[in-house]
Amino acid sequence: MKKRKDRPRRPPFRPTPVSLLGDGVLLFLCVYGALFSFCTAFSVELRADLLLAGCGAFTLVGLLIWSLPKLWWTLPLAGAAGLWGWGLWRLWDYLVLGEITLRCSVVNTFCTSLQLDGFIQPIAELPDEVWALSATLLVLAAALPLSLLLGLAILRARSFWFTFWVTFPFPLASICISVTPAWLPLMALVLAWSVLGLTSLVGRRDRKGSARLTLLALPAAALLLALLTVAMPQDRYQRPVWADNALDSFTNWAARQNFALFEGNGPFGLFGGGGGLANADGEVDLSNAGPLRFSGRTVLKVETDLRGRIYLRGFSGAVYDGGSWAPLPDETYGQLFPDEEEGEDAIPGYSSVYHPSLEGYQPMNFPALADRETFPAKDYAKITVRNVGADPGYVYTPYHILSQPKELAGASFVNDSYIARMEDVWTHTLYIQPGCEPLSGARLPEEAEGAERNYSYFVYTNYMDVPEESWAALDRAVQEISAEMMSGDTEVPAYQRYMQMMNSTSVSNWGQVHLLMADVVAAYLNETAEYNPDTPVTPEGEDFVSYFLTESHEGYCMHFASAATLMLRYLGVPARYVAGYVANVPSSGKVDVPDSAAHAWVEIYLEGYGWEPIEVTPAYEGGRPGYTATAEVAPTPTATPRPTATAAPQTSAAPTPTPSQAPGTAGQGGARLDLRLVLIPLAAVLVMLAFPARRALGRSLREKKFRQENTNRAVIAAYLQLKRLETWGYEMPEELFELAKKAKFSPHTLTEEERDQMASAARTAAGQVDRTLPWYRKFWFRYILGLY
Amino acid sequence: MLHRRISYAALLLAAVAFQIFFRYYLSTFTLVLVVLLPVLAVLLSLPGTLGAALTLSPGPAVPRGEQARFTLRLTQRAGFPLPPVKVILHWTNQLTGEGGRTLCTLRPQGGETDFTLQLPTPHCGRLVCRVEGARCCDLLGLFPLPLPGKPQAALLSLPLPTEALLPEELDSPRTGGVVLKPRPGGGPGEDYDLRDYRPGDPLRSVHWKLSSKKDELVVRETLEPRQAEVVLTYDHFGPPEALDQVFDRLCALSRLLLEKGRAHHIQWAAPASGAVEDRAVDSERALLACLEMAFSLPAPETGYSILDGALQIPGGVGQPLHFHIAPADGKGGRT
Repeated sequence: MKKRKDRPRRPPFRPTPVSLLGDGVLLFLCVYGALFSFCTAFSVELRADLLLAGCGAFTLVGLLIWSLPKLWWTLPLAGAAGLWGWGLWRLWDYLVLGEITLRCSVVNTFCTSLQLDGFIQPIAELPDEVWALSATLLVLAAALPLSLLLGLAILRARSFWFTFWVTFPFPLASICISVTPAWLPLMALVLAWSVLGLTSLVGRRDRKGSARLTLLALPAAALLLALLTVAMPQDRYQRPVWADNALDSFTNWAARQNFALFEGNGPFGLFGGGGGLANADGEVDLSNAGPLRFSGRTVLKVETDLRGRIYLRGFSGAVYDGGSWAPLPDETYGQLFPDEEEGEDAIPGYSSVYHPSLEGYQPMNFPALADRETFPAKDYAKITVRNVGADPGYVYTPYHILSQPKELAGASFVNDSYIARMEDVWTHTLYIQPGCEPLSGARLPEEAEGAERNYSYFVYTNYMDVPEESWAALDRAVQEISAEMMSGDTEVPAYQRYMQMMNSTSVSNWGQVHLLMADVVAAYLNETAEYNPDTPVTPEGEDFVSYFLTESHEGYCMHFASAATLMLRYLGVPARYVAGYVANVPSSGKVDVPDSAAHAWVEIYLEGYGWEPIEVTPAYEGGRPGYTATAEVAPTPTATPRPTATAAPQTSAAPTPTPSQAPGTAGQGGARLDLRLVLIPLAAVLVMLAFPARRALGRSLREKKFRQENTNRAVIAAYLQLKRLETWGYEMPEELFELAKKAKFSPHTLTEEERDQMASAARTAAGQVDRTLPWYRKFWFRYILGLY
Repeated sequence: MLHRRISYAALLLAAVAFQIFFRYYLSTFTLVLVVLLPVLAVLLSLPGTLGAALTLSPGPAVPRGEQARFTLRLTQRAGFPLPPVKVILHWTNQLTGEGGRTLCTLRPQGGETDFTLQLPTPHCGRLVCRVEGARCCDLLGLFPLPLPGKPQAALLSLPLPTEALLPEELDSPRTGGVVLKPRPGGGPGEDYDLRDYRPGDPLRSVHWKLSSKKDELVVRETLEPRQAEVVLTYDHFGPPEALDQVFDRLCALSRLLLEKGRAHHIQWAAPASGAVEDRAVDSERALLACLEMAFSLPAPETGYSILDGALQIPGGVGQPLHFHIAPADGKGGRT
């Protein structure tokens, strides 16, 4: 690089206490932020207190070594290297264990975030403390060279870019897979970067001034970060509309360009779903269902005539295998939905042409058609759904849609499971028959009754399977229900209603019985299991529903809906698992549905009516999934899981939570740090800075008065300063007093020499007084009163 | 600071892209932080900027043709560092109207930082240098911040020393530029003059013998030899080269007169109005003051000549010795 000749040489490095303090804080922030960002993002379980102490100690080591003159570096560096090597040699076994636990954490976080298979866990069965200690020692082993490198970058090179590129990879690794590190260490790192960036322009030329500026910039930047964090609460985060629109436009453009790169649901659309072009597979993986994490971003934009709470159906799962829900195999539908017209206009792999046995009818239309036939005077409702971040494979629709297969634009019914979105079409408008009730007596048109009968047969053939592994748990649950009912003193309303129905002389409507059975199952789950959005992943090898019913007794919508589906099937009610979103439509008719509104529920089939959604999750108790109305209704108290800062993508309509650590729960890994530990030193630094600031302010104002253009006033100001000094033992010379009198009473303007003489006398007097004072009075004199 | 602005624009673009493609809270936080950082940088720059002061001091007066020096000093009183300060210095020769502008960069290192501006002086005149504008940037190098104060300073580009001959009128052994003037208070003396009586004249000064002859009062006034006033004049217009010659000769003659102990006057006419400027010169310091006065007035190509009007000597008695300095000839002329 060409060096300019006129550029002054960099002054020699002479550390002062102030510069060491500022650089030490920066070095600690960098080391702490980098290591803890990495460890918290990848959920590495370690001894946070030990690591924190190590960060502090290594900061001091780095500070000490790089503060020495160059000639003295060799010995301390050699000593540190020797100690480091000796430590590696002595602790090698621990470090190997630490590498294993670190590798497991990183691999598992990647798998969780990218929804990949390949989770690993250590073979050795050791106590958790040993694993945590091993991981801590490994991180500490890396901390020493890191702190030395950063010390060189901060103290000696004073280079922002050097420091940035050394520390940036630590949080970047996790951000690339959409896992945000714990907020405190991340902010520590951002604070250090900000201060280094702010002092980079002046840091190398003026070391002393830069040290002062660092001490000023540290609390200022920390204050800015704190204010931003408070002003933008994470739990109420709403992704900007323009960003959604931009991403939408970009993905549409990418789709037109056939860029396969952006297919996916990862943070940057790279891995598997989320605004991309992935096809819907209709599957729900239950085995990775861990604590719920949401970002709060908008996934659907809805505009509708409907009001109140509506359930937006995504897709249904029919086949349960103990760890997932899958759609029925295509060959099962062969008779109902043959691909007779599969051609250029058909979506590959999908079919919207229906077998004559259904006479062109779609089962999802049955309730609306029946209601329309029976109550033709009812107004239909319109709903427009724009997919801005939900699983792109599905069109999310409310229940009771009137739009029939041939009337759909930009979408297509896929068997009886869901409506698929056509490429490049993100907004869909559908028509709804509001107010459908299974017990309203509505009947399908005669021409559709045959189709319904055929489909009913199909439903009872294919939606009644329960895997053998779940029988025991389901049998036990049913027996508990029976025992409770038979005891005669049950206080569960659903049980009582069911018993009343059963005790009546005749059952006229089996649909009503099935609805009551669904209520019974929901009540049973409410009694025996607890809603917990932080439910951990089901242990490997365990049946998802059996473990929920017999072991954990805690879960969220996925657990409740899966268990209820199987229980209802076990009781002889055709049922299937449904994933979608729950939205509360305000009076404006417009609502942005966040990803935290993702939900799962159950559909049961009622002969002559169709599929009826059932709510079985206690947190959503009181919800009526099948109820859609255009009138304003009081919103049901929501039990929607609170959105939290996410550490994993959640782009699917199916709430597929991940077991990765979120910032709020980083403490499980022992890496959580009390905020007070940072606030207290921050407050101390602010208080320490307040005193010199007071002194500087006093001096500045004083000098301004002494140097003002009106010489008479300047002399009087200096005289007043001298008068104040008299209370501290100063004796004013007579000539100065005369000069002050002249300034006050004489009509003449004093000369600049006279003004300077008076000001100089005031400065000298303050210095003389200051020198004569003991330290405590000197402190008061200088920093409280600001007289010197 | 262009590279810093480009870097910040790139950072802002990266933050916007991060906001678009990264769907979580961190992206919005990052974008807002990147937007607010320049505000913080400006706020943190204020103590250093407001605590800085610029002063401009001239070097000594220089003979024409040598380098004139101005020293620009940046004083950091607040103790906070300053990014590089760019100062636009404007200089002009008030006599000839020549001028220029230069941009200098000060790289403060704490305390005081000096910059020396060297200017050529091809012609005589008063060189005035002033700070037109001084600005440093904020700590991120994005926004210019003005520094308070616009000091200015001046120095003289003096005529070159040349040899000058004393005019014959002044060097003549007969008169030597000496004239007889009435002695205040009268008294005895060999030289005298006769004039009519004026009220207030003492009676002992009446020349009774002659008064009786002429039948009117005649007064005898005693004369004493006194040196005649010397007036040097020149025309304050013309091309710079011609003016240089004029001032060379004017200064040489003036200094010669001063060496002879002859106080004198230098006069010229304002080229635009013709108003006569008169400066008494009795010392080297007075000569410099006169030159500073003359050099601070612009000299156009043409204008009124001092010879266009009558010579005026304030408080002068008798006929002065007048020498007009012109660029072409080597001597002055008596009028």
